[in-house]
Amino acid sequence: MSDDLTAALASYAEESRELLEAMERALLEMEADGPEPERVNAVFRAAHTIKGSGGLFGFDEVVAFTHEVETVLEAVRQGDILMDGSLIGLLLECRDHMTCLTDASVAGTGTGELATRGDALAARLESRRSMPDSGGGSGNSAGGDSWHISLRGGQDLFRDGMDPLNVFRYLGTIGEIVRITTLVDRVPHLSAMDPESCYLGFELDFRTDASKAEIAEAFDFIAAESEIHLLPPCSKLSDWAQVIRALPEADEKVGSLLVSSGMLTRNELARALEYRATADESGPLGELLVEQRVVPREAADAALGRRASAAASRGDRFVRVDAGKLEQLITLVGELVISHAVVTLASGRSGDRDLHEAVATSTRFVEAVRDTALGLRMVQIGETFGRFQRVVRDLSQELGKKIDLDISGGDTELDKSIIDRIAEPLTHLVRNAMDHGIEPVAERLAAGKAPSGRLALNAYHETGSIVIEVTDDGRGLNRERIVAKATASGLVTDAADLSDAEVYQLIFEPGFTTAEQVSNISGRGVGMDVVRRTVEELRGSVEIETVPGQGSTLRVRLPLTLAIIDGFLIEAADGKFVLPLDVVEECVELDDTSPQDYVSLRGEVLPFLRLRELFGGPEEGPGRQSLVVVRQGASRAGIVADRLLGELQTVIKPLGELFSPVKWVSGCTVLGTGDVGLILDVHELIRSAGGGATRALHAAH
Amino acid sequence: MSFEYTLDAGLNRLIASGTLTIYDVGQARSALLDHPEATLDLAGIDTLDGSGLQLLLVAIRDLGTRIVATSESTNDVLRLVGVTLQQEAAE
Repeated sequence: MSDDLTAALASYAEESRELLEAMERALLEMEADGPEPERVNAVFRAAHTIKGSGGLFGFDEVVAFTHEVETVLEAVRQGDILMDGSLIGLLLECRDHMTCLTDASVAGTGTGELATRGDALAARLESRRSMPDSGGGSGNSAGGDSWHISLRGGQDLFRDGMDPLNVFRYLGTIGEIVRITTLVDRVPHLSAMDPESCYLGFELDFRTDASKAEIAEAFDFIAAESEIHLLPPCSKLSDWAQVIRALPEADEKVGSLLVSSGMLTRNELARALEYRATADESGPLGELLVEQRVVPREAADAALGRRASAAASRGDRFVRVDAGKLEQLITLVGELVISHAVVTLASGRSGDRDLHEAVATSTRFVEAVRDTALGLRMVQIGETFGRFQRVVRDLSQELGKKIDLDISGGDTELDKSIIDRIAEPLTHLVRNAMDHGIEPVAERLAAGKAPSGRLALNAYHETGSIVIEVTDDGRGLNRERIVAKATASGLVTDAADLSDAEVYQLIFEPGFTTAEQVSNISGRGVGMDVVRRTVEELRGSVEIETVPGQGSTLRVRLPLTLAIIDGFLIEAADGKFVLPLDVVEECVELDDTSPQDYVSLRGEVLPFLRLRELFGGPEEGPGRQSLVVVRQGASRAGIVADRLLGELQTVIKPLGELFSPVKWVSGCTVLGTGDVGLILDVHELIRSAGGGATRALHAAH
Repeated sequence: MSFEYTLDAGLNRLIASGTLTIYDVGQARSALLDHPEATLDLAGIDTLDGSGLQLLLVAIRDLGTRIVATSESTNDVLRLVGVTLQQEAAE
């Protein structure tokens, strides 16, 4: 295969993945909020593009199957088929199958094994296509047995002695106002309005045996100054479309009013908008731009203009870059930072003032290049979070639980290499929370909780780290059960001395599970240990916060990047150590005559660790030592060093297997002198310092 | 009968009485803008027309005005146009 074709295939695979994700997203949005036309169009557009691109590569199976999906979607767009929950579910399955077909086609592994599933799905699509539309009443009509009246008062109505309220009172004598909504959208702010002008609007559902002429008669007095639309029961969708188009409020506003009043279903609204658009547009279906024909021509033209210019500007602004080239750039920037440190050191030693100034200037540029290069790899976590919509949907159905997913902090950025590796552990945490944390509906009701469980994903930055939280409002962790299981399986012998936090950490031990039954979702105890291992490999940590009966939060703390950080260099026992600068709060002089491993810092107890002791240096240090105060989250500790050497850019290098037993070190870096500095694992240090100090305090008391 | 209002400064409450119609909405609007924090007592309103209704709805929308009491005639209008007020208990 030529390089060009390989590159084109890779591009197709990437584009297809993005389109399939967009398709899934739009389908899930439809399931939650209704089949708005733009969502149907988004799904259609994705399928259409995948089919077209697949055809270019001769992926016949992709083309044939996607064509079936596209045909059904086109029928939905034409208003022939309802986009209801079952069709959305079917299309999600089809989307999964398209993913398998695309992957197999790109990998060249053949699609034969997928044929049976594809045929079955195609048959279900065909069956759905031939099924008459049962949800839309008479197909192209809507509105039930009521008249629908839209009234927008003219500005001089009140001044001319007219009042819509009198009309409504009269209507009450010839029929029943089933529902009425008063609109104040057009009224200016109180401070700017003319109170004698009428800006009110009304939407009425009116049930009566009176004729149209009789109803219209009620509006005779105000008709000349107002905008009035009367829609008979079971009006054609095209008539609804005309009204929606004519009214001054935004389509969405009028549409949602009609849906909330029960006059139109979401699907009918979608189809009404489609009809309206069809009347506006004469272009062929299936063309990308024409697919946007769900707004009036002027708005569509304006929108298309904006879209076209936005697309053009996107085209100018974004370049797709091979991830390998980006890796190479980051590596080279790392080497640049190290060699620049050598130059800086040499210039300092030379005593040459001009050289020193030149190096200082270039330092700024090196730092800018470093930050820019690292920024290239920073991506928002929202896309990863978004994938959990589907996970939660499918798993909720499988478990027979009602679970709502809340996502926040999706715009939080972190290194792409970390995002790629954290997706699987996050999935474990989500599945575990849904399976073990959130209770079945009956249990929730018995506990006085809402029947629907809540699962929340949140991300935010905190002192040089990104924190990802998975929170559920389920039953919380049960200390006694964890201790019993851990004791039974030999993980602990005496749990009495263990703190709650230490007990909860047991759920991350290999093979640990409290599940009574092993399901195919979780409960085998393989998963949570993988979570902790992966997170720790990324120099991160996992914390648990739980309240029995109320729920749990699993908090994953990760470094922002795995490549280069701003560090703080310290020395102890002739060794050089680096702390991430973000975690350093302050440095204070330590009177190291006390054997205690804690000090009182401005009235607060601060536990500390002596690096000299940790790393086996001689007991006698220099007379004067420094205490570096570090913080991570709510925890603080002190690190005792012999000397403080200052800030430096730190290119993080992994440590070999040889260093795996050293638990306080997370990596190393090459210093300007050529020496190797060890990067300290602050989380582990704080944990060790806290534990040691607590034991010491207990002993003292 | 015309619209009148008094300000019960102790309770920071505008007490309206009489009619609230197109003849009164200018005065009522000024009163509301002068006392944006005040709650509104409509128990004494015996006539409310479309312009009065519009003013009340905009005051609620823009000032967050809270209604502490309503009269039967006010309630009739609100029922007619499908508006439900989150009425506060009178202090």
